[in-house]
Parts: sequence; structure tokens; C-alpha cells
Amino acid sequence: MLDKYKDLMEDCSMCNDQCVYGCPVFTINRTTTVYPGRKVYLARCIIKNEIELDENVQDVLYQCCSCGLCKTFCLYGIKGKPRDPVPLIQKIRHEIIKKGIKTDFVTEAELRIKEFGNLYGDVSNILEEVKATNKSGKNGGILYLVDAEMLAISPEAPKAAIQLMNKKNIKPIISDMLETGYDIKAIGFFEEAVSIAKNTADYLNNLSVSKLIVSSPKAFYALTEWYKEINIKINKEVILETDFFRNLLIVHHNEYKLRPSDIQNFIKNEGLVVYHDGSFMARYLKNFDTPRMLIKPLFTRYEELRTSREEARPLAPAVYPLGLSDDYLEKLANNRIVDIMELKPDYVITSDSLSYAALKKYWDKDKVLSIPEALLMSFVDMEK
Amino acid sequence: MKTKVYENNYNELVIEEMRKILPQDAVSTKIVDRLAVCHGAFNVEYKWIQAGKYPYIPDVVVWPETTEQVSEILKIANKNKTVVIPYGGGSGSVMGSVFFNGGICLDTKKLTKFILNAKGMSVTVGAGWNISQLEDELNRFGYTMGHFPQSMNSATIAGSVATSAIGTFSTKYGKFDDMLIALEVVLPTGEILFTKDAPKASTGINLNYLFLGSEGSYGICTEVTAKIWHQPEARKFSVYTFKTTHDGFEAVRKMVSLGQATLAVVRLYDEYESVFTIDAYKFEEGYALLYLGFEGRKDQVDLEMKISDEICLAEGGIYKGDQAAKQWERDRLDTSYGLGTTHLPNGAAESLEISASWDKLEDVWLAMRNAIAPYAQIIHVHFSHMYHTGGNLYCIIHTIRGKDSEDAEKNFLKCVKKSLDACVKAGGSISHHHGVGTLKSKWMFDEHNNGFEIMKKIKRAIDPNNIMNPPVLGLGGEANVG
Repeated sequence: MLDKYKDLMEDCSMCNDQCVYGCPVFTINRTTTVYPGRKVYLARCIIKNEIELDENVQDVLYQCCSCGLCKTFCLYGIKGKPRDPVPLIQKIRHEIIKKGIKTDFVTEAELRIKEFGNLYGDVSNILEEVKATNKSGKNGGILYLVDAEMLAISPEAPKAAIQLMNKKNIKPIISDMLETGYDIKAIGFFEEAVSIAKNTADYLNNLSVSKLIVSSPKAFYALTEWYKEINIKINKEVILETDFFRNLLIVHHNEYKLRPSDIQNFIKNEGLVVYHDGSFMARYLKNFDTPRMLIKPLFTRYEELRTSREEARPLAPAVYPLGLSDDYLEKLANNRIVDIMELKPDYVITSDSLSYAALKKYWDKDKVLSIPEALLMSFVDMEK
Repeated sequence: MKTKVYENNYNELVIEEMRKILPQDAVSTKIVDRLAVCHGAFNVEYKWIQAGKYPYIPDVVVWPETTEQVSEILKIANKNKTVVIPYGGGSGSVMGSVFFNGGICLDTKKLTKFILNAKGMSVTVGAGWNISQLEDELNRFGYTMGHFPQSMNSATIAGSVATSAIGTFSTKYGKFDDMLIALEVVLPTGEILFTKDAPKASTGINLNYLFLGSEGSYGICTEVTAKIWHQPEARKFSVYTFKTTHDGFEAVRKMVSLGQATLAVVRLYDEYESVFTIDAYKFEEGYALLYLGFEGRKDQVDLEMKISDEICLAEGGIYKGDQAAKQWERDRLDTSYGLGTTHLPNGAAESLEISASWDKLEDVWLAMRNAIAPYAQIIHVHFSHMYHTGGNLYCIIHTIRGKDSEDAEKNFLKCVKKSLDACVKAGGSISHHHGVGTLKSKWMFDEHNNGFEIMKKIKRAIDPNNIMNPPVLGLGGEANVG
């Protein structure tokens, strides 16, 4: 069943484990058990029937957030051929589920997928609230997809994005489909994920618009990369939300200057803004500078929070919707607050929805902004 | 080979006592946790993986978060005479953490204290800090430790104490011996020992040296205080070819011993290891290759490059720009070439690193090459850490012979024996920075003569029940290897 991973299982079983440097799960968990390479070794032991496939194995294999940073730091990557343990880990999760072994988390995930088609439960009310902000402008062939994760964790961001679009005279169609299936695949529910992906693609493809704006980098990755792998086509130009605003608002060059025609529309905010680049998936897409281009022109002083592997959400994307406990949010917030307090900012802008929720709740709800909120706050030309 | 079953084989009493003093999830007898720490990064350990069920695994894994917890664990282990092996990044290449007889694996990676002493130019950190992550943290504040071992992305800082390690920029920043200021160590009896963070003291023997290179046999290092430096303004490289390795030696010896230029990186590749790079860059066929690296103020770096250039040219060196060295800088963490051989069913590759004084280094180099030649398919040698009085020789051996992993293990261990015998005979020291582990413990008497007996006496004095990683360094028992 796992023949195609044979070489990977050899390579990762004795590779010096250099990838742990980048592994967000290890950075938090700090046990050898969660090393990406040691999970592959565990897979090897399973294949060779050296150990039993049980809930302990399942637990370990869920200690991977599928972020792909191990691939970035893989020693084989130096020569351009990085090994990627994520597909193997997901495949074994799939095999374990097929065998009927399910931890509490997997059982709960399965229930939510069946009942709601996503991992976050019923977010229909939140979707309606988001839709209610979409008031004026012409459609211009634009469809906006906010995924269930974004709705559940930081609905303020898409609300602000829509208001900003409206101010630029764009009234997007807001997608009723909220799930790409990517996280569901990562958990190991392969068949369910592909079925959701097909439904989502059918829905999107049947709408007569030419551009699809996607709020989250992860959903963008799913639609542009993962769908290719599973032979699903999207018949529209798929654009990441930050790229959309970049093209709409600024001149793309090194000094991060606003488009001349838009300078009059923005006020420069006095004070220090601290940007937290928390979107591991955006880095995975090698598209990590767009938020900086958008934010830097809007504030008189700009600093960045240190890059931390922790932002890649050790429980995400496969696991964290169900582990989104107050304890976890508080811990995440406290880690960030230590660094934030050193800088004493007037605002903190984060591109990670989980950090956004954590800081709003445990630091200062008025000082924490998503990128669309920061843009909206600075946009003064209401009538234009 | 002894094959140990994966069934639980532990002393219930010891586990029970540890569960009383540690958080619930800090003690595990699960097979998934025990398998994860069963191996380091030496090729023979991989051969065991290839052969089937892993033969040696710990009975229990514990993850203490404080020094006091480490102390309590060692008190329990000592009372029950249970073996304890500390486990850091798992990147060791001398079989220094093999659970030949089961025991407790004490994983140090949850010890993560961080105290920056900017005025004192030092940092005090918990044993479990990943070296690359620690360097990132220091960079945030504008500092560097200057410690860049090839294993830095996985190794822990206490691993550098345990093996008396070194990084690739050692000629400027020093060996880890030079970086180390003070230690906190838990002795096998549970007593906690601190050494003082004085820059130098004339107050009896320096106890840091009891633990530096001790490989977990005298206690468990829980905190490390090490030197830091301001981050350098500039980093530059230069490359030279030399007609012979001997000519390269002369140039390096003069550069280092004249004391006129502080080099950061010195890497001299012998005529054989240079072949691939010489070919790729179309340098002179059959020549040896020298990379020099410089760090510091821009004008200082330029001056040091000028002085080094004069010396290299005077010794017959030909300047080749900086591209080959920059490629080395980019690729320096890559170990895939050796792993490619080790992944073959009958293949094994690994490096052996020794040191010798200038007057012996060339003899040791030739003696080792000649000794291994009949048994190895590829031998690469370079000299990558240079001192006033001598240098390090890094020998990468590939063996591909026989039919299976057992043959590969035997062949490689034969190469180890031949090369270390030759090294000792020619006056070299058997390990420069990887440690001894259980791989080289048989040569400890040759290395130290009666000094080895003194090390054993110290071991008996501070570890009366011989619980701490007994077979490493040959101090507390025989290893079941080779």
C-alpha cells in the first residue's frame, strides 16, 4: 500500500533530523517522538509489522500540522531534492482510519465532517453576518471565498475585506461553499475530502465570474496546488486576498509605496505597528512579502515580531479546530505577548488567524488587527 | 547481535517512583516514544534498522523540565541501580546513546531556560536548546555564539558539551571548549553542581573539564553558560589551489602560527577529495584545494584577506575567487552523499575525525589513508579545524562490499579499526570533536595510557553504582559492538 514511499522511508530513517529546526510541532512539543524523520521511522516499523497499529501510533502521527517546513529544511533539499514526509504521514492516517482505529479526536472530526461538511461546526450564522457587510458596488466578475476556518476564528478579517472592496466599488459574490477539503484530507479522510473538493469545484465553476479571491493562504494553496494533484480544475483565475489588495492599492516595488492615485485615499497612522508574519502557508507559497507591502505605507513606524515556528500552529491544520481550547489560546497569546511587550506597539497586525483570536482575547482587542482591518482603518475616501 | 524484544521490560518500581515526582505525561513506556530515541546518526545504527527489529531500546523515556526533576530522577535511578542515558538531538555519530541494556532515556530537550547576559557577553541556556534555534534567538539581539557544527539543525547545546564539539568557524570563535564558561550538572547521585562563570580562575582544577567530553558518563548537564559575540559586519571567502596537499599544509601552518590574520574558516581538501570540485570549477587537475573564511569588521576582513593572500601565493597557491567556498557555505549541512552509500544494503559511510600536531599531521594523514585503502571504496580527507600547534583531519569513508547490512557493518567497523590503529601508531588523537561513544572506546587506553585508569577512578567516585551511560568512553562497561 505504501510502495511509492519506500525511498522516503529509507532516507528519513537516518538523516540527521535537520528538519526539526523548522518543525513547529517540535518547537512546542520538544520530544524526539515528534521529529518528522522519526515519524517516518515509525511508519517503516508499521509497514514491516514490527509494531502494532494502535491509538498510540495514531496519536503520534497526528502530531504533524502538514505545514511542510520539514521539506524546507530537509538536508536533501540542499541539492534540490527535498524529501516530504507529509504525504506518507497522511496516507498512514488514512490507513489507520480505514482499519477502524479512531481516537476521540478522529471520531469527533468524522462527526463534524458528516454533519457540517467541515471541521468547525455550524458557521452559517457567521457567514450571514459576513454577507450582511457586502452592501455596495458593482460585481465586476468577482467571487470571494472565505473558508470555514476563517469564519470560525477571525470573521472580522473578511468583513473588513468586503468593506474595503465595497469602497473600491466592488461588490463580490460571497461563496456559499466554505470548505476546500484540504484539512479533511490532512486528517486522513481522503474519500470525504475529495468528495467535498469536487462539490466545491462544481459550485465555484458554475458561477459566471472570472476571478476568485480567496481569503486564506491555505485555501489558496488547496485550490491552486492540491486540486491539481487530485485532477480537479477551477475555471477561474484564483487570487490570494493579499495579492488582490496589493494589485488594487499599491505600486509593486521595493519601497512599498502606495499607488499614486490611492495616496489621497489613505491616512498614515501615527505610532508603531508590529507585524507578525504568522502565515506559514504563505511562506510555503513563497508569498510572504505582500502583507509587508500593504502594511508598511500605512504607519509611521514599523517593526516585526520575531519569526517563530510556533506560529505555524502545532495543532494545525489537521488537528487544531478541535483543539481550539481557551488553554491553548492563552498559551499562544502569552508567548506572543512577551515579545510584543518588548516593542510596546500601538497596533499589532497578524496574518495568522489563530494568533489573532488569541491576542484579541488575552491581550488587547482594540490593538489587534488583521491585514484587511488595517487597510480599512487607513482608508478615508469613503465616497470615492 | 543481541535482539531485545519490544515488550515492556522495565522495573515497575522505578517507573512508579518517577511518576510520583514528574507530571503525568513526562514518563512514557509507550513503544512509540521508546523507538523514537533508540538510535543516533551512526551508520551501524542504520544497519540495525535495515536488518529488522531494532535490537536496543530504552525501557522508559522521561522528559524533565527542571534541574530539580533531573536530580530526582537520578536519585531514583541511583537507588535502584538503573542505567540512565541522556538524549539530546540524537545526532551523535559514535554510538554514544545506545541502550544496550535498556534503562531510562532522559530526554533533555524540555530544558529550555534562556538568560542573556549582554554586559557579561554570555548566555545561560537550558541543555535542550537546539543549536540553530539558539543562534536565531541570539541573532535577534544582535549576537552570535559563532558555533556552527554540521549537526546544528538537530543537535542540542548540551550535546556540544558532552562531545567537546566544534563548529565550522572554529578558527575565529574557538572550539566549544573555548566557548564554555560555566555549567550546571546533576551528578549521578542527584547532587546539583554549579561551576562559576568567571572568565578565568586560579582556584584549583576547572571542573568544567570533568564534564566537557564526558558523554553523559559523569552526570547530566542541565545548563550551559557560553560566550557570545557581536554579530560580524562582514563575511568573505577566498579559494586557492595548491599543487600538493603538503604545499597547502605549509600555507595554512604559516597563516595560523604567524598570528597575523584571524581566519574564521580554514578547510584544506587533499588531492583526492578535491577531485569533484576541481572538476566542476575547471581548476588544475590533481591539485589540492583550500577554502578560507573571514568574519569581522569590513576593513579588518579585507586586511586579513590580503595577509592570507600573500602567504598563500608565497607557498605556491593559486587564487580562485570565492565561488567554490560560497558553495561550501550553502551546502555545508548536507550529508546526503554519505547517506546515499549507507542506504545501500551492503554500504556504509561515515566520517572519522582525529587530530595531530603539525609535525605529525601529514604522517597521520598518509598512514590512515594507506591503512583504509584496501577496505574502502571511497576515502575523502580534508583538514577543517586548524590551531597554532596542529590540526584536525576529517576522513570520510565509504565501504560497499558483501551482500547485506551485516556485511556492511563488519566492513565499516574494520575500516574504523584499521584507521584508528594507524592514527594511534602515527601519533594522532583518536577523536577531535565527535566524541568516543562506544565506537572508539577500545582505543581509550591507547589514547590516555594510565590517564584512562584515572578517568575510571573518577567515574567510580562520582557514579558508584555505574548508572550513567556506562559503556561510553569505556569507563563503565563493555559495549556490545563489533
